[in-house]
Amino acid sequence: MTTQTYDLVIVGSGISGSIVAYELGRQGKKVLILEAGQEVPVDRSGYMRTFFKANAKTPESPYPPTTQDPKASTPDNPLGLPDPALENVPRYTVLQINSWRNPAQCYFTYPPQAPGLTGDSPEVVFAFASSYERIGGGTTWHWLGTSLRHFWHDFELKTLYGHGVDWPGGQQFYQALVPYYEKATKEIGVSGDKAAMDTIYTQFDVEPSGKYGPDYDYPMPPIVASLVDNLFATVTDMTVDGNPVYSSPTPQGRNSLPGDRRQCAGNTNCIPICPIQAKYDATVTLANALQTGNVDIRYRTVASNIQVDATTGEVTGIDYITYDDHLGPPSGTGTAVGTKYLLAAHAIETPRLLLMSNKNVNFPDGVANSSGQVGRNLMDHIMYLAWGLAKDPVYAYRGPLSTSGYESLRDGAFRKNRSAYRIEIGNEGWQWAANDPYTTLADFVFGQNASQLNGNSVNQQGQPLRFNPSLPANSQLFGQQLVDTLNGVYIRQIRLGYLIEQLPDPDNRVELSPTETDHLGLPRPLVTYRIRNDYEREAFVSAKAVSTEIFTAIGATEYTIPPPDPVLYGAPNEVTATNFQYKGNNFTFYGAGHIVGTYRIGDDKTHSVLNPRQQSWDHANLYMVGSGVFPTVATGNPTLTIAALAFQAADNILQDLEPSGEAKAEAMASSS
Amino acid sequence: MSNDMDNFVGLSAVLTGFSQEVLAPDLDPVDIKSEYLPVFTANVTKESGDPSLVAGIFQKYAMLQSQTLTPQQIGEAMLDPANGEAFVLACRKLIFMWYAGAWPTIAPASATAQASTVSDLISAKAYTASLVWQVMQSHPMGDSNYRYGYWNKPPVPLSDYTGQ
Amino acid sequence: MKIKYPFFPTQRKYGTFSLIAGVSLFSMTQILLAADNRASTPTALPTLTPQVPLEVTSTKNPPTLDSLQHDFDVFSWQSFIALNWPANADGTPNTGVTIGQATNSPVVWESYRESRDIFLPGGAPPAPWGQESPLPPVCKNIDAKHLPPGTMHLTQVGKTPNVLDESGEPFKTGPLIDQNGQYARFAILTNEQMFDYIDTNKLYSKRGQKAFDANANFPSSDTKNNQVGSIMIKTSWVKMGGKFDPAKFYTTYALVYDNPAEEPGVKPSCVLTQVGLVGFHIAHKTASEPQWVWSTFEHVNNAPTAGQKPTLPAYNFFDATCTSCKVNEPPPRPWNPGTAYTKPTQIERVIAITPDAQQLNAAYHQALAAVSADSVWLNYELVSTQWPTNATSKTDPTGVPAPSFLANTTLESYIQGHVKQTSSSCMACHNNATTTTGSFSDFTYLLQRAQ
Repeated sequence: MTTQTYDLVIVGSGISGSIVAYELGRQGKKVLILEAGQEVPVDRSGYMRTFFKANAKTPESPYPPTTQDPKASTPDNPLGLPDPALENVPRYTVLQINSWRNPAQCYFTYPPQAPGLTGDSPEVVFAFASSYERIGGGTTWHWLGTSLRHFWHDFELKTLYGHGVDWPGGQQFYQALVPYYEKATKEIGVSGDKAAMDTIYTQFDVEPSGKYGPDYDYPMPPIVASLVDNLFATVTDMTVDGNPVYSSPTPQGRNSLPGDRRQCAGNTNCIPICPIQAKYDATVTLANALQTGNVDIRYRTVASNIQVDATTGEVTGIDYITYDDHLGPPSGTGTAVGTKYLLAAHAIETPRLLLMSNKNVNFPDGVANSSGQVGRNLMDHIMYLAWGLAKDPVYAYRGPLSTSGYESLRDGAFRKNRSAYRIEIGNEGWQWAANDPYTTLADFVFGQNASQLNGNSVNQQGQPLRFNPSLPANSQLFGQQLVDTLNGVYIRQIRLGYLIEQLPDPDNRVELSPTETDHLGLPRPLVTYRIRNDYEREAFVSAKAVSTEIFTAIGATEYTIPPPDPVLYGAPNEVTATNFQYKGNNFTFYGAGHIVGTYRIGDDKTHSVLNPRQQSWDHANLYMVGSGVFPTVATGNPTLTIAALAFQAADNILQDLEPSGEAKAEAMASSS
Repeated sequence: MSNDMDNFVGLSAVLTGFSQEVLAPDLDPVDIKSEYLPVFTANVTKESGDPSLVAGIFQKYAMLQSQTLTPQQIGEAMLDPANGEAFVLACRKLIFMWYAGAWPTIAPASATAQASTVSDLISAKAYTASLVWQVMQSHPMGDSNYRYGYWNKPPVPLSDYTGQ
Repeated sequence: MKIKYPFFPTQRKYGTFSLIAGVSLFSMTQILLAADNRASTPTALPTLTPQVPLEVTSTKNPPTLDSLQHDFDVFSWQSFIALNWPANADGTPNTGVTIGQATNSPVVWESYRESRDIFLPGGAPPAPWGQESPLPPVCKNIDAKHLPPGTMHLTQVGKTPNVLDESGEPFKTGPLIDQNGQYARFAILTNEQMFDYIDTNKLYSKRGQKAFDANANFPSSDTKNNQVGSIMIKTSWVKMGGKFDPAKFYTTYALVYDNPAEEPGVKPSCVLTQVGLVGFHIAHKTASEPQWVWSTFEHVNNAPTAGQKPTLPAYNFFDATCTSCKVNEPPPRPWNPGTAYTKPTQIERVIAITPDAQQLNAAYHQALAAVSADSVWLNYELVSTQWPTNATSKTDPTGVPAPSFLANTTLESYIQGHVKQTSSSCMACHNNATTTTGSFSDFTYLLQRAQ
């Protein structure tokens, strides 16, 4: 047992856990954070070194435990992926997606494909496409920084459009969240363009009065636009399903001016890691929390079980296992005890912990799970990527990864028929889309054509794609001709990414693997993930058509490669992970890193895990935060909403800790 | 050894299209050439099984360089198929190494897949020193020496990056 | 008292090592002559002069990376000597004495203007050069003129002691805790030329910076007209007493101010106390080095070098007996310089001082010892000098610095290393410094302190 009792025990030190810890610590409450992963490093050089040396610079590549090891490369495991069974704190990484059928390389396990399915069957299960971190500061280490609000229409998807579910209270929930959106914007230190957001909010009827909150503005001026942004901003006379198409500068959690952290220097590396911390991450708030002197944190401390009092139903402690070395044996066990408890371990590890906690007599299916909803409704923004070459140079690979997007398509009557999306405009050329600059480089050095630039490829509109028609197919270049060709390609590369709203599907879920464990002996996630609704698949059809239309409008040539046919059955290395067919098209989807659902809030304890105060229906002193509480994934990137909900939860917890004290007055004041 | 290095840098300039002054400046605190030459020598020798191949490449370059030839002519002569497959492949891999900071392995086309290239990064320094970032008039992702807002303006001309 | 000489490298000899002696730094003819004389004067001691060098002099043709590094290191030592020269009341060097003599006199850089006295609350104009600025309220009760015996130098010039109001390293990487369990303190100062540029262009306030609406461009030193350009000094200090013998440090009395603006929870407090110099950065903008020349010096007892056996019986920031101490890690939060005792931080130097710089240190120590055998300046050594190898590069505004990384163990304790962007590199980091409006501020972070 811990020797000290805390007002609040938190599991997880990411943005949600850190915000709640800071808010309580500032009010003099004693808080303990249990963090499964390693310490926030003194300086990020270790992470940067790992990033620089990584062959595959995936979102998780800088962070411990290591995601790839060329020295461990074998024919069966060319990337040298670690065996999750040997790791104390494994996590899912995007390099594991193609190994999704191999539990020796993939942390998640998956159910078998049902027999007799075809590539267009809604029942096909896929690999989950998004990842997260298990380290001090959490997944904000590798977030992009996009700081958008959801709209209240997002919170009434069922009422307005007949799909998914509403958030509890719908528009009222949004209104109550407005002051917390403002706190979140301030805490992250968002650089944004108020006028541009006003236009969007007006279009989507966010607030008929035109007042989007008493203190609504951004702490820093907008990040300047890239030349890529300027090109996409020229689209003005296009409509999609009745909505005008126009781009907007994205509110971003990075410094446009110097502050306590450095001003953005355009390292073009927000994901995987901002080298200079110009981009906000939760270690900022965590440091503030620790500075209060009221917050303790224990790293390498893995919550393994939640104890519940059989009589009162209240949580009485959280058991944990500690380790020193990530691959070594456990170094100890204990129980953290507090008055209140908060789970802030993101949308995979939180339900995993709840489901693992199945030894309490009245909760055999896991803590907080009387509804059976824990782990269900796993969602992501499923992404469609489209890429092309601009007519004139736009100088990709310069600036933050994304600085604008098409927000104007996030809502409309079309939501009765298909998922909404926002379109992110990439500044990183074809890095994400086609693993450039390396694919194009190899093509012109060795005479290959993986990029479609150096052969006889034609795009889906029948346009020839060879970059220089005066060169033969499969040219092998050197010297000035190589310089000019590579330059001509790279500086014209453009990319669009569609963040498609996935509907809550109770069968998309996190369960416990009956067979696979991590090195601490804890069961690993069993993930069932489908894209079952035509509603979502129709958005892919729309995205594909809209991309072509946008590229045409700006005079660009589209290079989007349709993926190969899905392979559902066969050896682990033969099956595809994220490919599907719909209406005669082959699609692949990407993850947005927006892991959502799995312990949602709701009005009804039979259909939700938490009440609208983010408090367990089953255990009055247990709260949960993070995107797992979202009833729907909605249309904005989730982090700002995650942060706003954490501020709101902090007020609720303060109120519950001191129902008649100052905290209540403070809580009421700030939520009024 | 210095002769090998001179030939290595000279050949690299011809094949990559970058000037020697960019690849290996007189004052060179980065000194990537000293990392690349041993990697090139070891890998080419190992892959070809021919311990004299690297020396042969440098000799050929030195011979061509002593004549009054343009870089284009030297490059064409070095990449002439008559030099032998291993010789030409080594020169092509030299180009890739400078551009990617990585050593490439080519997977030939198969029944199900077209030819592709995988590569192994040589070092963190090789990543940041690699020429792809220069040829795109930018900076290594994660290592910019430019200042806030630079992305709002076109970069300086390509010739400033290549030194040509 | 006797000073030991732990810093003479005895195990290595460098045949090519030589020094320029007796050279006026402002004459190219003489410099070339000196270069020619190198071989004939290999053992001459460096001359100690109060002249700040205005430009680096190349001593080899064609220069190499190593020869220029040496030349820049000589430039650093010459600057260090000149800036620590005993000063007259007006801050000019007292040419009647030599460094190491007149130990009761303040030194030249102490007349420079502290950042706290440039960037005033509300963006108010700073006092003119040479005039005093108001103290923090909590310091006002201290009779600064009534100093303990033996510290007459400060009252002689009628100068209020400096206010040390910083206890954290850059970008909140953390405080440095000495072996007495006390927070090290930091101060940044500018010379008159740099101050004048800020003052004239009203860059001391946010409003002034907005109106200025351009990149800053501080004046450079120029040998053509013999003008001193902009010089910035950053110093680090420890409180004397306990394990620290004031005889081994350059000391002064300072108002050590716990600044509540630094971190939540810090209570304002001010004590007049004797402090000893442990770290000294010089940044100097010259005509040929628009990225500035970055020199850094340290007290010789600061920290051992990683991977080497500690050679001294005691260090300022390292305890050889502590095997459980984590190296180069700041204390856990909360950070508060008012804390009576904090567990010392265990500091090691990550990048060793090069043999050539060690040899140069030995030569300068010899010259300083010739003036005064117990000169406190024998306790300071050059770590290295960072300079641009390609100052006019069109594609790299940092000018391709050499060495690529440079840190002072007292000023960049926790970001020493070899990783681009994150490990300490003066020029790479300061290249991104901007004003409060986001305009390039010419390699100084000072301008973003404007209110």
